Parts: sequence; C-alpha cells; structure tokens
Amino acid sequence: MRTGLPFDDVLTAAQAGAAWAFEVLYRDLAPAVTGYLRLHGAAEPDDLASETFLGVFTGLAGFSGDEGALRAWVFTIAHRRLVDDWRRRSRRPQVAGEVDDLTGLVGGDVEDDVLVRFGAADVHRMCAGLPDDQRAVLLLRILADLTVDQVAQVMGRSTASVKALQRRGLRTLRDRLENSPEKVGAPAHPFPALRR
Amino acid sequence: MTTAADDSAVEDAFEALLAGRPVPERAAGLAAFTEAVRGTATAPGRPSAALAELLATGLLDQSSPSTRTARSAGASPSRRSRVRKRSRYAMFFPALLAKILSAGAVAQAATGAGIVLVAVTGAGVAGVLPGPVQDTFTSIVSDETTVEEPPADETPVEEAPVEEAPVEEAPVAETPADDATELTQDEWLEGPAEGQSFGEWVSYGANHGWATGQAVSSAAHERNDDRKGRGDDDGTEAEDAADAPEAEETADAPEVEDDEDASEVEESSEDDRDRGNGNGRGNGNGRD
Repeated sequence: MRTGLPFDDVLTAAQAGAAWAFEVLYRDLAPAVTGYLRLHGAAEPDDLASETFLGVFTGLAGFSGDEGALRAWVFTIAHRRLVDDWRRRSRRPQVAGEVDDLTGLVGGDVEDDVLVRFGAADVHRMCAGLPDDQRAVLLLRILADLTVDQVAQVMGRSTASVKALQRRGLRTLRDRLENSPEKVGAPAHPFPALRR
Repeated sequence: MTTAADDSAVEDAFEALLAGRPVPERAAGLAAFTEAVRGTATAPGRPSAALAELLATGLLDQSSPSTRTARSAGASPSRRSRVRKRSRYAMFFPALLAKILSAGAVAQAATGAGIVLVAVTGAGVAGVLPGPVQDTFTSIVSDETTVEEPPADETPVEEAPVEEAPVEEAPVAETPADDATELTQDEWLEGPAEGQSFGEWVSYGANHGWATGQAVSSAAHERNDDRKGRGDDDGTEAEDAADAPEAEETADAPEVEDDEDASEVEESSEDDRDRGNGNGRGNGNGRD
C-alpha cells in the first residue's frame, strides 16, 4: 500500500472495525475514487464517494482478496453509485461547475494553480467528450490501476468488450489530442505541472 | 486516417504508460492526458458526516496498528470468524447512524430523544446511573409501580371475587363427576355411568386425557340408538347435538387445576365461542 503498511494487516483491522484502518484505506483509495466520479461528471462527487466508502466499510467483513481485488471491489461500488446517479439525473454528465471545485485541490504557487486549473478543465472537457463506457474503461485503467479483466468485472462486461471499448476510447482521445488547438503534450502545452 | 497499426501502437503506449515504462515521442499527448487525469485525483473529497464519524470512531475498538496487527497475525480461524461475526453485528450501527444523519432535523431530534430515553431507562433498570440520578429513577419507578398496587384496605374486597372465580368457571357438573367415582380408562370407555350425564362423562374423559373424537362419537351414537329404541326422541337430540361440540372443545381445552389456569380456560373458551368451528361454507344449493 502507499502508506507502507502491510495490506493484510490493514485489511484485517478494517474488517474488525478499527478506525485507523478505515483511515488508511480511505486515504489510499478515496482520491482515485473521487477523481473517477468527478471526471465522470457526477453532480456531487464527494457525496457519492462518501456513499461508496460507507458501503465499503460496512461491507468489508464479507470481503476476501488481495489489494487489487479490494481496489476492484471499491470501484465496483463506486461505479454502481455513479450509474445510479446517472439514472437519477437522467442526463449526460456535465462539465460545467466542476472546474471550480478543483481549485481547492491544489495549493502553493498561484501561477501554477491557475495553469493546473486549465489543465484540469481540459481533462474534464476531453473526458466529457468520450462516451460513458469508453470513459469508464480509460479512467478505471488510469485512476484505479485496474487490469482489463478487473475493469470487465467492475463494469459487468466481457474482457473482449472492455478491450474494444478501450481501443475506441484511445482512438477518440488521440484524434482529439491531435486536433486540439492547445496541442496537449507539446513543449508549449498548458500543463506545466506535467513537464518532466 | 487511422489504421489498425496506429491503434495497436497507441494501445501499446497506453499499457506502457500504465506500467510506468517509457513511451515513444508520438505518444506524448496521451502521456500528458494520463498524467493530467492522475493529477485531478490527488486528494480525497470531503467526507459526509456519517463517513467522517465512521472514520473517527470506527466500528468497534480503537486499538493501535501494532497491537491489532500482532493479534490478528496469530488469530485462529475460530477467532477470525468471531471477529467477523462481531463486526457484522456492528455494521448495523453505522448504517443506522447514516440513516439518522440523513434524516431531517425534527426526525433527528425525535430519534435522539428516543435513544436517550431508552438508554437512561436501561441504565436506570440496571442500576448503573450516578447516585442521585439512580435514586430519583428508583423513586419514580417505585411510584409508578405502587400505583398499580391496591391499597391495603381494599385488598380483602378484591380478593373475594377471586375466590369466586373457580366456582363460576369450573363446570358445575365436573366436580361431582370427579368426586363421585374414580374410573379407569376402560371403565370410562364403556360410556356414561349410572347417574352420569353425557356431558359429565365427556368432561371426565377430557380431564383425564381419554376423550378422543372416536370414543365420544361412538358413545354418542350408542346413546342415540338407545334413545331411539326407547322412543325417546322428544327434543333430547337437540341437547345431544349441542353437547357434542362442547365435548370436543372441552377435550381440547387446558385442564382446570388452579386459579391461574382457570383464567386461561376462560379466555380460550371465549375465543372458541367467538370463532366457532364451522367453515362458513354450507353445502346447500339454495333450491327448494
């Protein structure tokens, strides 16, 4: 785990209801879960993430598996909450209003913050331009660090279907990147924080 | 125009990015996108009140990582199952808490007041409240309890009807039957003795657990045959017909042995009278 603690020990303690273990798991997984929900355009990503982790912690006693399996399980719950949210709202994810929320996530240099904010807006825009399933596959692979098989499990699809969605999503993404006026990834791209 | 080779190259680059391997120059845009996506997910969102409470208090104990780890490492399978079972029970409370927190202010206040009342009452009954509070609780409870107790002067007045109860509820015919003669089961099966009515006979058998439907029925038929042979058809069949169901009820009813049971008999017999044994579906066709 990123915290350095042995996963089995954290899991056992969390299954016994220890608050410190909940905290460890939350700090490890919540950023990716919240980011996943946010980039999907959830109206209240923090609330959905909270619902997800309440479900995770209260159902953890019945879980068995390794760290990867836990991540897959957590994102399965998050994805279901997201789909429920879509159904409740009965409309496509929206980008508007998401950008301002991101300003609280960065700190330090003001100029960098503004530039990262632009970058986040670009990311949101590009994600919003992807079909839901393609976006879900790419985000689950990038943010949740899941394999194709695990993504298939999370989404309730076949592995072949997920591979096809990933291929189409990457193609769409590449076309948009190549046609983007900002030329994301070029030396003068507006992602200074991403320069190596 | 993109080709299959392009798709494959992008996929390879994507897998390399995810694995942390270097990617070709042409995949720089994809690499930037991937990093930007990761950059948006660096901090957890703001937890809800219910989740914050759960993160702060956990579900059970607050043992430190080291002690918890040491204990869990050597835990036996049975202990693990116990721990899981306990935690499953404990799952109920955060879920309940979440529901309460998501309720409206009035509902929260009402629920909170109810919980406090139940907790204080339980603690008061257990006698674990602080001294003065426990004294107050005890005095209130004793006051409430003494309200139900009759004053000393009235006690004889209320006891008198209690003594009458068995007289009213016990069938008058039963007592002489019991006192008159002690019958064996075989003697009882032969039918009503001299001077014993059919109802008394059935009650006697019921009290001794001998009154089966078959025995009562055959005795009733025998009695009817005797009466027919004597030409005694003047309305006594109606009495028999009325007796038979009562006999069945008596056979099912608990035995009347003391005052407490007597009250139960009264209740059951009232229920039986109210309900009846019929199914309410007649066989008549409504045609004359």
